[in-house]
Amino acid sequence: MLSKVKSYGLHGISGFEVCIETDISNGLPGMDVLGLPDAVNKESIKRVKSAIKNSGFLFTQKHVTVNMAPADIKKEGPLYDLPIAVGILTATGQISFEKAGEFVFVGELSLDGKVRPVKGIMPIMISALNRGYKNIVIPKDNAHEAAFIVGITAYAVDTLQETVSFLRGEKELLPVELHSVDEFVEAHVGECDFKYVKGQFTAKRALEIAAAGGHNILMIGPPGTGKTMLAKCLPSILPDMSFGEMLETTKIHSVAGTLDSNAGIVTTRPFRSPHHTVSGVALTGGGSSARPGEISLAHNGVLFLDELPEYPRNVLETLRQPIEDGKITISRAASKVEYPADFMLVASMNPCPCGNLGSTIKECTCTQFQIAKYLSRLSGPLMDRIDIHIEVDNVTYSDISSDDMSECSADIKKRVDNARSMQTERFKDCGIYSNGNMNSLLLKTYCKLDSECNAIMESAFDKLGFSARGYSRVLKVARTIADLDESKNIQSKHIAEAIQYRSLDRKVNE
Amino acid sequence: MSINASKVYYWLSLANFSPTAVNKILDVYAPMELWDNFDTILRSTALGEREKFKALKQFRSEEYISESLNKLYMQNIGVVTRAVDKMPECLMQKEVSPPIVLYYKGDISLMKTRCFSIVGTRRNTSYGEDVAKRFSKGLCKYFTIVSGLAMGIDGIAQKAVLSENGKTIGVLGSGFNCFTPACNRRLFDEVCERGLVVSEYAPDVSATKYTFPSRNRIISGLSEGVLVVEADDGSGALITADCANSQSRDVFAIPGNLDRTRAAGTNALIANGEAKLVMDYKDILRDLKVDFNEKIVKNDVAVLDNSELMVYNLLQNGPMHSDEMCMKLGMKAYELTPLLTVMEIKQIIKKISASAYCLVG
Repeated sequence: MLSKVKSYGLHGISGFEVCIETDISNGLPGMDVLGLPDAVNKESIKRVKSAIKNSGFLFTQKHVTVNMAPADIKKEGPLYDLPIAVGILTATGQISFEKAGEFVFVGELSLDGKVRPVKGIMPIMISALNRGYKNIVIPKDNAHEAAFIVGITAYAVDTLQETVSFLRGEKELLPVELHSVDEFVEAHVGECDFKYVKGQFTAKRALEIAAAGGHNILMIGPPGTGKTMLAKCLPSILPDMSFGEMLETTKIHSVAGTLDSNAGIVTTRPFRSPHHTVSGVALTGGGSSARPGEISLAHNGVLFLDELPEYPRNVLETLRQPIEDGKITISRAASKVEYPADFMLVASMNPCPCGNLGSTIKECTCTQFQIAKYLSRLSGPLMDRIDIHIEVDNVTYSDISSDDMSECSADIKKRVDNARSMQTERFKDCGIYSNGNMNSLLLKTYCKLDSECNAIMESAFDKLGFSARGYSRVLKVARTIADLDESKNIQSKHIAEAIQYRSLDRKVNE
Repeated sequence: MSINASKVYYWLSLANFSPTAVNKILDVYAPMELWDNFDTILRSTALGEREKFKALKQFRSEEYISESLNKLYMQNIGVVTRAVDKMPECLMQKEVSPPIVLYYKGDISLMKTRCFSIVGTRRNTSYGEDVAKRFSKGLCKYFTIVSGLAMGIDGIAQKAVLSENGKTIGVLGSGFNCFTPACNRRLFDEVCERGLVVSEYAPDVSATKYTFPSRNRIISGLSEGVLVVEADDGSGALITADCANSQSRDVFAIPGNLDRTRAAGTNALIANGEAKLVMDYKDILRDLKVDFNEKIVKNDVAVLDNSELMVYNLLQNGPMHSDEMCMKLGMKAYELTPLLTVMEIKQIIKKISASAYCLVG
């Protein structure tokens, strides 16, 4: 007897339909799996056999052939265990054909018949929904992910036995209850709050601007000045995510298996800080199965690179294209996958190898050659993509000992949210969310300068030895500063402030 | 082509003797006499001395000399010897231990202008950099600035001079084809083109431990005075100061932070009375009796608005970090930052290190 059961596979962050065909024929007892299964899939023969037996069902004494169509796409992961088991039980007549055909099945089996969670439920459900499927059976532990997808009914099962009773109509299963995202969105709670950061007014202001406009930012300063502390406080002022952004980010985290098992959806902007020993593939994504990397996991959030020059140069250079495009295409011989990677780059570095150049407290012991060599690890094109550079200096004793509390993150966040909503309104037809992503055309439309602003720009180039590469960056940052100021047009004070955030542009040899 | 005194000097330089050694020989024999009676002299010298003379023998041919001069010409390298009046008198003083020849690239007439040298450590602080720039920009309007094209203060001073379109002379501690440090290569090329680079050493002689101290005497010898910007104990700049003192040139030094080792050398110079403390480049001009306009160009404070004036008054106490300014003025960062840009553009203040600002001038 032949049976057909629908399942779904993952390709990047989209699912593709897989039809599990099971045929029972005469021959030696045993089982073949066709359709490019990977090692995990081949092992599923043994898991399925035990699971069926231990759930109290009959595994056939005949020969079983399982084909996963389409046969030319590689099938990866253990998520086909459940559909294969259902296929065999259908083919042996233990479940009716009609009932099994109504559902899409995904899930891993353990030997005792328990259904274990799998990665990528959310993208699979979205793809199945788009394909017109109405019902899906998923592992119970993945139920929270399914709670946000409207239009497809998900049934969460705990064991194979439960699945079979449900399909036989012996047991009634309630579909997974839909949740609204608001239940999970909660105010940022964490130890890091800007109210604990004493002094550093300029740096805090720069971070506020960066958060408001989604600008990439580089903090330069001696060790112990609080660069990392400042960066860790950044999530507390990042604007709220829209539902669209949440789904985009959750898809990636679902595929990567880094989803928080309680929430089932990413409601706060991710903050990723890979260590500087990270490999290029870990950062951009890749591997034989083209997994998402850190930059994709930071999608719609922050990628924090502490001690930027310590990262291998070739690793940093891979960031250039994703920063520009907001996505990354991973091409391997076997597959080509595109992941979104629209992140805000936050980086910190020392000004020189010993770290004390420009410090008001300690003396730098580096030679010019050492400093030049250190700085040359960062390529011009990469630095070109960073909108804001600020220099962070040691906090003075009077700063630390002062009792007056700094502004707390919640207050800053209000301004940031306000500025971001202005941007959302402005770019609603452009497919971007923030000023940081403006292209040259949008720049021309939304960053018009009056004569006063032009005069400041011109004299900044003239007197401060500005280089031309910073021009458009200054405009973008000035636009965000104007948004924070709730001003429709960019005014001269906005330009003047933006210029201060481009310290690396000033020519070294004045 | 016949042999002349100039060529004899050139011939003597080919054996890479130390200047003292050559001067010793020249004390005894006149140049032409040495060439004409070389064989007799060689035979009559004491055994110990003879080895030295033997080295000279292999180059003693008119063809060889004119050929090697030709080679230099092709490389765009000029030669001045003691016999030529292009060699400035200040270098011919006995205390300088005059070089027999100088190889040069660039405008040789600069050696006859009023020269002043600015030297310092190769491992400078940002304060040293700032001061070196300030002084060389001020002094280059009145002097040709002489220095060693080295890393650190030397290079910083000469770059600043070029940016002001001033004149500068670089003195090498190696031959032209063996220039070090590589990171100053571009500066070297530019000084060759827009100023003058001289070296006592033949083009293919590479630098050794001894060549740098030896060239320092030429740096000070060329100059009316020497300014030591920053030097730690045992810095080469102290050798230049030493040379300058023994050549009776004026030595000036910038005082440094007592707690920082980088300035230990300069502070010691001042303490020992070997150098004069200077606080402004005009001190040097006054000391060397250069006419200059004493009128102090004060920034027009009237053009400042109220809040700018507050910043101005605050900075009169010295450089200050922007965060500290925020606190002292009770301003928010977003109020202060635009102000700083505007004042920078008006050239009333300037950014020094990190986020610290100071008044201009």
